[in-house]
Amino acid sequence: MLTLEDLRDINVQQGKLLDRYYNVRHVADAGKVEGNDQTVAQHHNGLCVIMIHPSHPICSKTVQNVDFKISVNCDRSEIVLSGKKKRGAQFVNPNSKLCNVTCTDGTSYILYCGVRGKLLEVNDNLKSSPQLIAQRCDSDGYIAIIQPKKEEEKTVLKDLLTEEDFIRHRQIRASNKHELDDIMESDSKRLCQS
Amino acid sequence: MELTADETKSEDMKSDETGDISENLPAETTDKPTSPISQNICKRCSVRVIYNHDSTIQIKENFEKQCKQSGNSPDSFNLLSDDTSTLTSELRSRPENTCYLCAGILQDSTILSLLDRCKELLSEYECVGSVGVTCSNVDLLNVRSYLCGVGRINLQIKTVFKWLMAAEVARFLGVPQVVNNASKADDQDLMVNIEIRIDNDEFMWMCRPPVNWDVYNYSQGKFKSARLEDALSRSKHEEIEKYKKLPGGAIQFSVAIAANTTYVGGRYTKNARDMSQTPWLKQDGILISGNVEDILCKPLQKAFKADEARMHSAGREDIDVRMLGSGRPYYVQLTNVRKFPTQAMLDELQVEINLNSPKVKCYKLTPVTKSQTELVKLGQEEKQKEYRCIIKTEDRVTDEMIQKLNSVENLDLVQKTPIRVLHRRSPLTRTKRIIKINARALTREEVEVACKHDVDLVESLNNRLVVAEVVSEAGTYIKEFVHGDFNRTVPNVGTILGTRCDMLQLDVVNLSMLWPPEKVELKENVCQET
Ligand SMILES: [Zn+2]
Repeated sequence: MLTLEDLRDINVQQGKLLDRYYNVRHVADAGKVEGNDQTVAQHHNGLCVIMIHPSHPICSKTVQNVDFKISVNCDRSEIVLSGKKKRGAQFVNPNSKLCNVTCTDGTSYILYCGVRGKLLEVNDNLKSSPQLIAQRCDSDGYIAIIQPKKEEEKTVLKDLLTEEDFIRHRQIRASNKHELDDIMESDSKRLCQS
Repeated sequence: MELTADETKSEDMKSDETGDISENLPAETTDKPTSPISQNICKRCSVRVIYNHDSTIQIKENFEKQCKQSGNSPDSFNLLSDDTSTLTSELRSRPENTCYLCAGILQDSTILSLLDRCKELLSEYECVGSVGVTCSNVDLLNVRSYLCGVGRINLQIKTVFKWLMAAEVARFLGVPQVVNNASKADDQDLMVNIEIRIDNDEFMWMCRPPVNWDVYNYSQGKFKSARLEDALSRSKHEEIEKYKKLPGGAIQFSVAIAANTTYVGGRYTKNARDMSQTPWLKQDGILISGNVEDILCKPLQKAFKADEARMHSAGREDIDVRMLGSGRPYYVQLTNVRKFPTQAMLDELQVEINLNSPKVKCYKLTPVTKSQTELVKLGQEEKQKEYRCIIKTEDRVTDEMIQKLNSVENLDLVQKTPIRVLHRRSPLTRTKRIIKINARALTREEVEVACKHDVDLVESLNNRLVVAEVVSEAGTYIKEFVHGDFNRTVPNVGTILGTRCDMLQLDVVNLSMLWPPEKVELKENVCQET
């Protein structure tokens, strides 16, 4: 039976799953496309979960399609892995294309892998429910899971932006375009939500 | 440790132990070996020859009886039944000839010297519950009976030698004698391993048949057994006589004592969320002090003077998960103990361990056999587990939502290998079953305690904290069932309730498995004062 004693050491204010078990970094303007911001969450075990950043334009749009077939010959969702060593995985680089997202307003974005490693998994749910990528971008709408090489586990994040770096980057980007106020506003909104 | 078989003998003296036994030969058993067994055959070899065609002699007790009866003199020393302690010195002073059939291996003086060496080595061990003896092959000697014209002896030197040694060693240790062969060597506490070697070229020569007999492959050192009987039966008498004279000091013995790996079974509970099962490095490289394995193994390793102690359990829980209820089955594997566990000692150790360890407790410590430990490995796969989860929901839960959880019965989950373990496990999609859920929202009072009476927090979390008791098939990843693992486990508590969920706390409250086995054949150990 649950006793009050069992509840005394509970931490009801523990952070979100992502904050507890992952180191989160960002890629700003991926593929040199302004606003094409992505997030890489590296689990403490080394695996990297690739997502779009919550400020990505996609998040405020209706997504029509997420396509992992990035060229005639290459479909990222064709994944055949075997065993603990995950033999047969596609090896990707930070600038390798991962998928193409098309929105109902006609815009489309190419998303990138963000880190070097073996592509273990893409989120198949995005094929049937593309809107997940926008609505649940930091959880069920993840895009892919990449396993860095063992010797690169500690360094794959080093060229990516921390939360502070990312905010600074956006401020500079915005001030260049005189949009600072807008950004600040949306930032504070986001903070309130979480 | 080396001994020679005849180190206690003086040269060329006849004793009453090896004498002319031809008069004892029963007429009906002499049909096959008609050649002379006249002198320098020890008491035990005499019995081996005389009762060669009596298959009951292969049973130790019958052999023992015949040895007793064939002993001529009243003070004839019989290792298999008499007390050796008073006779040792007397025997030492009594010279023996070397038996030409067993080369002295079965003679009392040899056995006694070996026994002295064994005792010295055995004195290192305490509370031995059982002992077995092994002995290397002595093929070359088994062929001596052919060379000497006796023919095949069915009861082998090695067999009798093991009977003698096992009986004496068991008596010394005060443990029951092992009946029959060493097929269950694993189940003995100790093994006395004796190697018999021939270290004398002249002797070697004396053991080998002439080249023209064509029964021995000299390059391989093996007998061509198919030809043996036939060829040897045609051998000439002069040659036979030659083989009956043995040079002394040829047989060497090495004695080694080995403790079999010993197992202690039990269950443990863990009442803390900062205690891992094995030594654990945190992200920052700091070793967390204390772990379940050390707490349960170190005292046993020390008490039983083992070289190594390792823990094996039916599964394991994460560092931040408590193990409650009747605990998790486990066993400790102790390598090369010098002292063997008894129930009484384990009862004391259990108390001692639990006194010194506030977070981890052990129960039902008991000696188990190697074969019983298999149950722990099997149980890992088969059994149901019962968890208690404290869940935080994003939206407030209603009675209807809780009702959805409580109506779960034998629900199949499709579970991808969790991200948490995907780095070291194969990427698979498994079907696992949730058998039952019993959930409720925490009461206001409970929420207040969980929120440490922070008014704002209580307000925010009221009806957002749920306690759920989940019974699942073993092998279900329960954390992922609660938070969904990015929807890689479906359905999950989040999809059932219709709101995002996170796990605040997890306990294993029950692990249904019978362990340690109720019907353990308790080892009746006698602690020997040495
Ligand atoms: Zn003999």
